[in-house]
Amino acid sequence: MKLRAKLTVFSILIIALAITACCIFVVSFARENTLKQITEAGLAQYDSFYQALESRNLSDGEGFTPLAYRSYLQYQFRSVEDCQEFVFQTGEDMLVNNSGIDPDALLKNGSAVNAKQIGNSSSGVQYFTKTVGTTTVFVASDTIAVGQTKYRVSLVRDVSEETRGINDLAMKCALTGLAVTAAAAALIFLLIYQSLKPIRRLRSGAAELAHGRYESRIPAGGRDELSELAADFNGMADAIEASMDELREKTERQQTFINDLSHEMKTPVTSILLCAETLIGRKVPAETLNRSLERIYDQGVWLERLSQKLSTLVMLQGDIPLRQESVSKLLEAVETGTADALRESRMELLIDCRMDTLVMDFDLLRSALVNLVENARRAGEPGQSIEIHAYDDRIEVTDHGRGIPKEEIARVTEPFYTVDRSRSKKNGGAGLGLALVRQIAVSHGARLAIDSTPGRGTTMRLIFDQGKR
Amino acid sequence: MAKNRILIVEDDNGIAESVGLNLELSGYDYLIIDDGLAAAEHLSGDHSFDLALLDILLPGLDGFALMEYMQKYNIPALYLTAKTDVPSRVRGLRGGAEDYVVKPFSMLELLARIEKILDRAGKLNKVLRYRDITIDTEQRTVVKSGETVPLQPLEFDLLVKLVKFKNCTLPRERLLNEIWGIDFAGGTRTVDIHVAHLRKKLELENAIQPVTKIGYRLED
Repeated sequence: MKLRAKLTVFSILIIALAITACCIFVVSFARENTLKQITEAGLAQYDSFYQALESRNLSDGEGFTPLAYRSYLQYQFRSVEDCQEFVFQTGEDMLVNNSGIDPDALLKNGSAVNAKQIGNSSSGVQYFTKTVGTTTVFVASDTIAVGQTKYRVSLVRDVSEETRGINDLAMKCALTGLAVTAAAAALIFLLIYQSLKPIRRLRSGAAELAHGRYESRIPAGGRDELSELAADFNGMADAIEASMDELREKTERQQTFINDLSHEMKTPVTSILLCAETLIGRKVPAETLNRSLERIYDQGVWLERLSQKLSTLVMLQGDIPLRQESVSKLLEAVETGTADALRESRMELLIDCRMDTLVMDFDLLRSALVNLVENARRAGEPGQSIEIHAYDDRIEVTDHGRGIPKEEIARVTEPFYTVDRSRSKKNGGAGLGLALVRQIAVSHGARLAIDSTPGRGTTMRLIFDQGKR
Repeated sequence: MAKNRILIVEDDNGIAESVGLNLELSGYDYLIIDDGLAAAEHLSGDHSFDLALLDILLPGLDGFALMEYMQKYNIPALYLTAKTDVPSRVRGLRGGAEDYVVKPFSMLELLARIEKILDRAGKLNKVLRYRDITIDTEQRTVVKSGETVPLQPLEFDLLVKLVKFKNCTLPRERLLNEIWGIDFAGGTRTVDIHVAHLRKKLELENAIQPVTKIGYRLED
């Protein structure tokens, strides 16, 4: 059952219960009152009639014939004021019955209206109220002694009119109660429907989110609890959307990296497979055999270098312990690492170290600088020099080579990006070098800044200004 | 009839040379150009190629741009590329390429595709020659030293396959699939029997070399 239906049904039940209880209370109070009045009025009239009859000092019948005595008694009884509803009898013998109703029959039949209406008054009068068929009757009765004989005097009063009033009241109460309940039900339903509207909006908002539409929001409004909940919900959606975007971006970056990597690996793998296939399937001259074997070896070495750089990149994603080390020792190591290649290209490395120590991972920073020198060597011509300056918070590698076109500078640190693809491949570059340098810089709390003028040369700067010192 | 001439535009000279070597061994002429722009310039002077093998990522002009030149000079072209994504394949084939071969590829496969394209373009030599044997693939006749040698249809197909892929090792399973068909129930022994017949009828005892555990190779 929905919350809306549940709330409506229970509210209506409670209201109906309350109205019913009210009606029952009012009706029974009215009824009690009416019956009390009936009883009091009846007893009062009975008492005054009884006294009036008693004060007549009725003769005990001496000197009367039985018939005349009977007539005498009847006459006396009837001449008492307000005798219209009274009955006069002895045993079964009915002398006078002005009410037209037999009180003895009433005693035997009919149902008592209320237990309280059966009893003895202070003067010893028996009374009760009973309903027979559609009429309700009040009866008060006592005996009166005339001589040796006991007569019974009863008041038998039809009170149907009065009790019908109670029934009418009960009916009216029930009808009014029904009408009020119906009206309340309609109002409650509307109220609940209206106040649960934000919940439906919340629900559809949550469903949108569940279906992956992270950009959808719940329209805000109002200042009640549900509106606050909606605001919180929107806050949650904001957070989810932000982290989803971040995740998507990260995945895209990884996907691009993997695509580039697999593309980059295909060329050497193709070359190796083709050479191997030729050697297996063809009869080739000795010269071709040697060339093919050399090519397989070269491409294998290239793949090995690529995998080494990749594992360094992966390692750099973690935290690397850094230590205070001497910068001049670092630059010496860079010089040793690049000497052979530079000699071969007939280039010179000039080192200017004005920096004492730096917090670093010696091997990583060395490989970053070797990479930068290697790039500078590839960009330059034989006879040129490459300079390393270390001062303040930076280490710079400057060459006087080709330079990088302005629009390419931002992209050269992307993995696998090379400005001049075929030339860089001939020089043995995989397009990972600068990506690696940048990553190493980041793990040292540094950044890589590139200044370049095509035709004039390039300066690559590692600037250690991002904390972690 | 002259040899088929094939243009290779590929910037990795390792791959280009391997492909060229294999083409040469299979009886094709070839020319390697390692730059898209250079290839386009070369075509304006010399465009008598029967087929072009194009890489897509090239310095100068990329392979998609080169396709226009190929169509201008009516040279059927085949892409030879590391780009495996579907949009590139579709773009390549829609752009007019005859085929799209993804690296790494097998040389035997490439040779088979080259042959298909040349055949479709009507540029394939109908007459094959091997030493003193002349094979007319249209008439399905074999002449050795001026005398016609009668061959069974399957023997003829086998001979054509061996000559077309001369200097290449042809696996038994491949021969079985391509000549007898995938559904053929017989074993690879069938290939051996037909090779034996060919050797005897055409005196090719030394030319058709068995390659241990793999298959056969017709050597020059």
